[in-house]
Amino acid sequence: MLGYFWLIPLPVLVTLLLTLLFGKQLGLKSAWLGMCGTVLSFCLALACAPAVFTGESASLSFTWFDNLQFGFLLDKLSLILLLLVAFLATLILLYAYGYMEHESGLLRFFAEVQLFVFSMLLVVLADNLLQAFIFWEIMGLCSYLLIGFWFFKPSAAAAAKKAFLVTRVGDVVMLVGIILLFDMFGSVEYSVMLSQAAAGNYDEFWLTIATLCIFGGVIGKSAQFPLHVWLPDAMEGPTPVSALIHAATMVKAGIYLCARLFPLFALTPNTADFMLIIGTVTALGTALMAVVNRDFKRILAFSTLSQLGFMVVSLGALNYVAAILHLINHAFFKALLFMGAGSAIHGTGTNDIYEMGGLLKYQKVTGLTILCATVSIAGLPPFAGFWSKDEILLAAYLAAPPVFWLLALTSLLTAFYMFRLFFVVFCGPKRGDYHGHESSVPMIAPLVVLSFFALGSGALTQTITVLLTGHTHSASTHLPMIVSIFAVIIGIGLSAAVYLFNIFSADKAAKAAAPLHKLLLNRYYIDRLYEKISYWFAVRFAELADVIDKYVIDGLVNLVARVNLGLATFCRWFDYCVVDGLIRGFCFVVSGFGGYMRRYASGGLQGYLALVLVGVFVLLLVAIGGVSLL
Amino acid sequence: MLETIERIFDRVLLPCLAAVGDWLSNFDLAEMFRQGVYFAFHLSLTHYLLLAAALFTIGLLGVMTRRNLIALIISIELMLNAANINFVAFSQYLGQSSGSVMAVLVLALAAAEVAVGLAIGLYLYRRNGTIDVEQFHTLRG
Amino acid sequence: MNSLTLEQLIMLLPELLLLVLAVIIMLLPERARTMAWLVAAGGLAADLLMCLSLWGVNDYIMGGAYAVNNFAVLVKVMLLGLAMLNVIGSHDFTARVYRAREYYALLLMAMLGLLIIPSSMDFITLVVAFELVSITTYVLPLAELNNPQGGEAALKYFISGAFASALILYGLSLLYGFTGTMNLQNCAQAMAILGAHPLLLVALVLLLAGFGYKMALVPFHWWAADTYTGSPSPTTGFLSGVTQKGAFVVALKIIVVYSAVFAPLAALLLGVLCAVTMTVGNVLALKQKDVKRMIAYSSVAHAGNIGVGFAVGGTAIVGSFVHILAHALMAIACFFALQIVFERKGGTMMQHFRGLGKQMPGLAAALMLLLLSFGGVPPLLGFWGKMLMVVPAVGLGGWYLVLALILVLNSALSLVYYAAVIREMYMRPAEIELLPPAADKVKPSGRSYQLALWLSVALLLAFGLLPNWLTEICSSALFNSMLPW
Repeated sequence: MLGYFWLIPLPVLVTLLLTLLFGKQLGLKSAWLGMCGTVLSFCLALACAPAVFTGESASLSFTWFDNLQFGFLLDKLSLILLLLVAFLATLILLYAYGYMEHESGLLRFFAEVQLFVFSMLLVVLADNLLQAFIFWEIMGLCSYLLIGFWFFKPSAAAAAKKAFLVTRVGDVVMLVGIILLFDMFGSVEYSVMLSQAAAGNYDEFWLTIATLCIFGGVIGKSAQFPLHVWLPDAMEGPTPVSALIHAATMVKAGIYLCARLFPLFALTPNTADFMLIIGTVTALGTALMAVVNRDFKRILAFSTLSQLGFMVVSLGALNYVAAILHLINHAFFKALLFMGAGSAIHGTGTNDIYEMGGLLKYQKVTGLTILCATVSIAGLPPFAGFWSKDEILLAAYLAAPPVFWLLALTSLLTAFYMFRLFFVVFCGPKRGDYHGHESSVPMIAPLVVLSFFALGSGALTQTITVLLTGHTHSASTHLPMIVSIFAVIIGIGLSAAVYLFNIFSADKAAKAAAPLHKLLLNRYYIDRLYEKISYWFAVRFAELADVIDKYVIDGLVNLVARVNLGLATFCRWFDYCVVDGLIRGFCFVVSGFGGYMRRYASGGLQGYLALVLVGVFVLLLVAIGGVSLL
Repeated sequence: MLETIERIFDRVLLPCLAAVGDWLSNFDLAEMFRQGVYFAFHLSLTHYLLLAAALFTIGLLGVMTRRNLIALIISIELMLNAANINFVAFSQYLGQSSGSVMAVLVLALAAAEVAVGLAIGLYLYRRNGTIDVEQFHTLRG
Repeated sequence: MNSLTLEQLIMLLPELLLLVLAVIIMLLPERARTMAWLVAAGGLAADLLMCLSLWGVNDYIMGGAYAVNNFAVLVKVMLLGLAMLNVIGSHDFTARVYRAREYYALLLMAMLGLLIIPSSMDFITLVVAFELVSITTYVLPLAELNNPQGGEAALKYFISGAFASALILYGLSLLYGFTGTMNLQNCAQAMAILGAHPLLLVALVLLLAGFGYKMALVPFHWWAADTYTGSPSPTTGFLSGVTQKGAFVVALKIIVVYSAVFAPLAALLLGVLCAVTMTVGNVLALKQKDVKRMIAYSSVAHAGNIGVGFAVGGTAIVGSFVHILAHALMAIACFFALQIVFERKGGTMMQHFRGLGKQMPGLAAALMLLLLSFGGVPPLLGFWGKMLMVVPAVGLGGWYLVLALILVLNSALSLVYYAAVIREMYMRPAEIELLPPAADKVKPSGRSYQLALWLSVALLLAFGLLPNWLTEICSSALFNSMLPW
């Protein structure tokens, strides 16, 4: 089976093509077609699993041109990601079957989703950076198309544009990094680069620059500070798309790439420190924003940012296993949360959590599954999120204690805002006027399936650690775990006190810290800052250009005007007589030659034969002349 | 450039002039007559080759000048037969069979070619009422 | 000559199969057009597989007159594949010609000759095979009996061809007389011993002229433009895409024979011929108003391009083979596209192409890709062949550099008229309305043309994007078996 591992993404491609061919007739049923593809891919990946997990790995590569290769690589890391992506994509497609029931443009939607999944699978399977980058870009394109699915809404169109442009900034930086690495190692294949780096064939300074550039791309794709601005806006797309972007594909690609190139980051402590800082800033900053926001999906988006910050911290602390663990757990509970959010929004018709309230009465399954995800993401032991977050905190503690304390604060905030979300939406009185009802079965079924994983995927912690590192992980200190448990309990308690039992009033707290509240609501004004900065730059640049135009260029122009005039006369003459003459002469010669030759193609057969004979004689003369001269 | 001109003079023009000069200085009418008689009465390979060359040239001229398709085909046959005479003569001279084999095959080829040619001629005659090749010049330019 | 054993007969199976199929097709009832088509296409596919299975065999049979090696297999597979494309596309064409059976049987017999050419190690086999190809294709322009220009096209093709074969045979008789052998290897050895002689040169010139006629090199190309224009387009595709390419293999063999003594001279002769061919072909194409005739002249120019590789020699021959494949694919596809335009718009003059981008977007897109490939625009296969020829030529320096320069300049020049067609298709409004797709029994819808067209375009794109595979196979086949015999 292992020999055919390159077949894994193929079913998705086939169903993509079938969708393009028959999507019009199939309509909503294309979802089933897509699911066939992802299920087949999943099964293929599963069939490879026994061999890979016992330590084998497979690769296949062709020379594309020169020494650029086109190839696939399957090892434990990529297989785990493949399984995860295929599994979640199946559930998301099933969900989309229910969610997109009343939409139009289904052919477009399902084809784009499948292309998205296909390119993610190929990013994971790629055995070199360039190939990964190509499909990474295709993924960027798909995200643009899908976020702007409702392109007739101006906000959606703007969000799509924003996502595309902001990630593009990162991608350009990343391309620079790839070129630097290619220059350094002579290849962009992972195996070659890592073995060269391990052998010490590198220049520390340039490697640092290169890894920083690669991380720049990751900042864009995985939405880290300062390029995180696109992710909250990406909520404008349909909910299955959000689930796809947040849980399974796009933002995870960055983390995966870092894990893949992990030894390079390990060799450059400066980059690792930079990652620590960026990760911490993102985690804490976005968690604070999540505390005050009122939009269901935006809160989830901020929490995604925060959790990604955790993963980046873990990478910066040189523990990529913890990052991958958290990636897996996060994929499960975040997919669940988004789908649950979609279900709730479907039921109430609003995004504002303060207009929902008491939804548990109407949507029991949605509510309970969201509760599962909430306890998991908050990090309540013994559920999934707890284990991986604990690993990350431990790594951070060992790497840099201040980071650890900030992260502990973040995990307190996480518990706080997640339970705030749950309490406000599902408990308490009914606030908005909605006719709540449970969503259809295709939307509910994935939720139920995922809730098991969200709760229980922590059980995989040891297995995956052993798979990826080869030995079990034993904590040298239990302080981080104790701190994190306390933080979680405090967070939940606070949240319950404020939003469930109304012991404190949230409004009062907001008023007391009004400036902070306003700052957070406006997302630190970063978005506006970017707008201002780009506006300022554009205006200043225009002014500068104006000044240069007026004084420098005009002066020069006046100075050389006379010279120019004389020159121009000469040029004119030269142009007309020499250049034009040459061109016209050439044209004249070519077309004249053509006309002349056409005369010989007179249509008369014997004329042709005579010309052939002349040709033979000329050739004979040339040949005999050639022999006597050579 | 100069070198090339020099070479042309050295290797082509001057030897030609020298040969002409030699021939003129050694010219002997009686000897030439004797050789002519000898040549005429003693058949050798050269005779066959000359015959073939003559046939080939006649065929060539026929192809160039005749306007009737049948005559054209006959002229081409003459050219093919010139090649055939060459083959047979060389085969006899070298004492090998492969030339004769080729000659037999060329006969077959020529027959096939004539068959196709006559079929085309028949078609043209039925359609246009003429097999004058000069009449067919609509495709041109 | 030795007798044949059964194992040796197996190597001849592809040829025998073609012979049997041609007979079977002639025995079919006259109305069974689709059946004939199926037998021909299926037979060619089976033949292709048989030839493929001979890859790696290296053997001489029939007393050394017939070689089976990788070079022969490569050429056979290439030509069979191209012929199959042509046959696949011809279905709708033969649905309305008078004698479909004969059409397919003649194609198969021509293919039989083309299969023997790369294997023959003997002038007798070579010439007989070449004549088989010629004689069977003489009547192909007449396939469509009501085509007013078919007769003239066939007449010019036939007379020029017969004239050329007379030149070939006369040249060959001189060569035979001088070297005393018909075998290619022995001939080369004899030449190496006997040294240069003017008679050999006369033979070389006569052979080059004779085969140059089929390759449509310039002073011998006059028939080509007329015949290609006057024949129905699917036939033209076969003539310019398949049989013309067979002549290149013959030319390569003759050049290899002569390379022992006349290496620089034979290369010089061919180089001069090719330079003239490219220039004259392109210049003449530039003046055409009929796109079919333009493509016919561009075929002439491309023949010059292919010959450049043979003239340069070495690794450039790989480039020649890539370009042979590229041009054959482009020519077959392009003539099918022209046939579609002819059937839907009533002609192939420039004005028929106006606004085609709006009227038939798929066809226009395919045609644009083909024209760009003709012009040698990079991601397409048409580029790689030229590049693989130019790079070794530049490396050799001297007059090869001039040859490479002429090739590049000609590519640029040729883009002018290809771009003109693209401009007509996309920039100008349509003047002539589309005829409705007549899908009755007499005039089918042209689906088979589309199929062959898109298959070729897909192959062009695929090979163009992944040229390494093709060049590796070509170079391994060429340098392992052809050059050291």
